Amino acid sequence: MTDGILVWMILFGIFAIIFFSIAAIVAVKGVSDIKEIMNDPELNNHD
Amino acid sequence: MNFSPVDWIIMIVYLSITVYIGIWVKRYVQNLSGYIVAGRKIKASLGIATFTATELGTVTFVYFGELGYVTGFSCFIIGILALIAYTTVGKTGFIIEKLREYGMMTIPQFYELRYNKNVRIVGGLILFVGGVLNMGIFLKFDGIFLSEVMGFGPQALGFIMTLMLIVVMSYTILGGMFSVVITDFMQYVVLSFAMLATTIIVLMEVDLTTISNAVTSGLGDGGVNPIVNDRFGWSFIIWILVTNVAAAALWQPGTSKALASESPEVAKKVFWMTGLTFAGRAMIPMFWGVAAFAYFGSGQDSASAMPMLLGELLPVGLLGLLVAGLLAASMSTYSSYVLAWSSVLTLDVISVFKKGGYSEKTTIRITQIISGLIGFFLLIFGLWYQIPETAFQYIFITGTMYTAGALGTVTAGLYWRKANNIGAMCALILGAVVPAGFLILENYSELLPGWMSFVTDVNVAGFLSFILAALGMIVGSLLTQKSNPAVIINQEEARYD
Repeated sequence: MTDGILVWMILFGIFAIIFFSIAAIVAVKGVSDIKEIMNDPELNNHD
Repeated sequence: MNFSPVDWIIMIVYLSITVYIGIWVKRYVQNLSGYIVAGRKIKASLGIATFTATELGTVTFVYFGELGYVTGFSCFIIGILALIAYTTVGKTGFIIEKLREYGMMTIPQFYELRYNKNVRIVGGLILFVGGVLNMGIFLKFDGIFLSEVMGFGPQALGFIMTLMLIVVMSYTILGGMFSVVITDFMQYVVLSFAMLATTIIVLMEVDLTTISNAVTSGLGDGGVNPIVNDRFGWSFIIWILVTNVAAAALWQPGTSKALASESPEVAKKVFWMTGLTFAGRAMIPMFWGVAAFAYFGSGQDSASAMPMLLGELLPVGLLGLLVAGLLAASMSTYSSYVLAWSSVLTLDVISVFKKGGYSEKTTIRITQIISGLIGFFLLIFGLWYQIPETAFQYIFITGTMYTAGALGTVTAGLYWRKANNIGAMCALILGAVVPAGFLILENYSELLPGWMSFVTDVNVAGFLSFILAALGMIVGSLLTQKSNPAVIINQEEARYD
C-alpha cells in the first residue's frame, strides 16, 4: 500500500466515524425535537 | 434478479409509512411560512437531519460512486473541500446568519430588499432554471441505480422513474416543508444505518490490499493524487471549493433549512455540524465505487459499476433496507428541491408581477401547481438528455449557473456599501452565461475554433463564471454609482416575518 493510499484510507476512516457518530446523536435528539414541534400550541390549532 | 420477497416487503412497508407520515403532517401547516419554512420551528438536531438528507439522494451515491470507480482515491478531495466550505460557513455565519436575521424565505427576496424588484425577478428566474436543470438528471440516475441494484436491468428505467415521481410529488405538494422535515429525519436515520452495514460488508468482501493494488496498477498516480488526475487539477479544486462555499450559503434547498431554523444561532450550528458530515457523505459512496473498480476491473459502465457491486454483495434484507433508505433519501432530496424551486418561481417571479401579491392560499396553490410541472419536466428531461462529462461535473456546472452570480450579488449586498442594482444584474447574468454556454457548446465542441476550446472544459467554465460574476459586480457598481445609488438596508424595516 502506497503512502498516498494509506493517507486517504486514514482520512476515510476518520470521516466515516464522524458521519456515523453524528447520525447516532441526531437520531436520539431528533425524536425529542419532533415531539416538541408536535406539541407546539401555535401549530396545534387544526380548526 | 437480486431482490428477494423479504427485500420487497421491507421496501414497501417502509415507503408506505413514509408517505403516510408525510401526508399526515399536513395538519401542522397553518400558513405560507408553515408551508415553505416549517413555521421557523426547526431545532438543531432536526435541522442537521433534514439538511444532510436533502443533500444525500440516490443520485449523490451514483455520482460519487461513479467518481470513485473512474478516479480512485483522488476524488476523496471533494469530500474534504465540502467539509472546509460548509464548516467555515457554519462557524462564521457567512451570509446565512444575516439572511436568517432578515427573516427571508428565499434568496431572491434579499435582492429586492437590497437592490430592486427587477434584480429579484432576474435572480429568481436564473435560480429556478439552474436549479431545475441541476435536478434534471436525478430521476435518470436514480433509475439506473435501482434497476442495477435490484437486478431489473435498464428496461425498467422508465417505469421506476415514473413510480418514484408519483410517490414523492404526493406528499411534497400536500405537506410542504413540515412533511419534508419529518420524513427527512426518518430517512436520515434509516439510511445512515444502511450505509454503515453496507460499508462493513464491502470491506469484508473486498479487502483493502486488493483495493490498493487495483488502484495502483489500474489508475497509477492519478488514482491517488487529485492534482495529477486528468479530470481534476488545480482549476477543478479551486472551482469546487468556491462553489461549495457559494452552495453552502446560497443553494436554496440547503439554505432554506437555515432559514427554517429557530434562530440565527441554530442556523449556524446546523451548518457547522452538517459540514462535519459532508466529508463522510462523499467518501463513503466513493469508497464503494473504488471497491467496485477493484472487484470488476475497468470494463464496466462507470455509473452502473457501484450499484452492481452492491447488488452482488449485499445479503437478503440489507439490500431491501438499503434500497428503501436510498429511495427515501431520493424522495427527501426531490421534495426539498421541488419545494425550493417552486417557491422561488412563485414568490420571486410570479407574485412580484401581481400588485400587492397573491393571498397565502393562492400562493400555496400556485407553488403546488409548479411543483407538479417540475415533476413532469424531470421525467421528460431525464429520459432524453445525455450527460456531458461525469454526472458530478454536470451537477456542479448547472449549480454554478446560479451560485456564481448569487455569491457576488449577496456577498456584496451584505458586506459592500457600494454594491448597486446594475452591479447585481451584471453579476447574475455574467455568472450564468458561461455555464449555460458550456452546456450548449459542449455538444458542438468539434465546430469551435481552437481559441474557444476552453469554454468546453467544464473546470475552466465553472471557475471562469465566478470571476466574471465578481468583475461584473465590481465594475458595474463602480461605473454607475451616480445614476444608480446603492440602497442601504434599514435594519428595523428589513424583517420579512
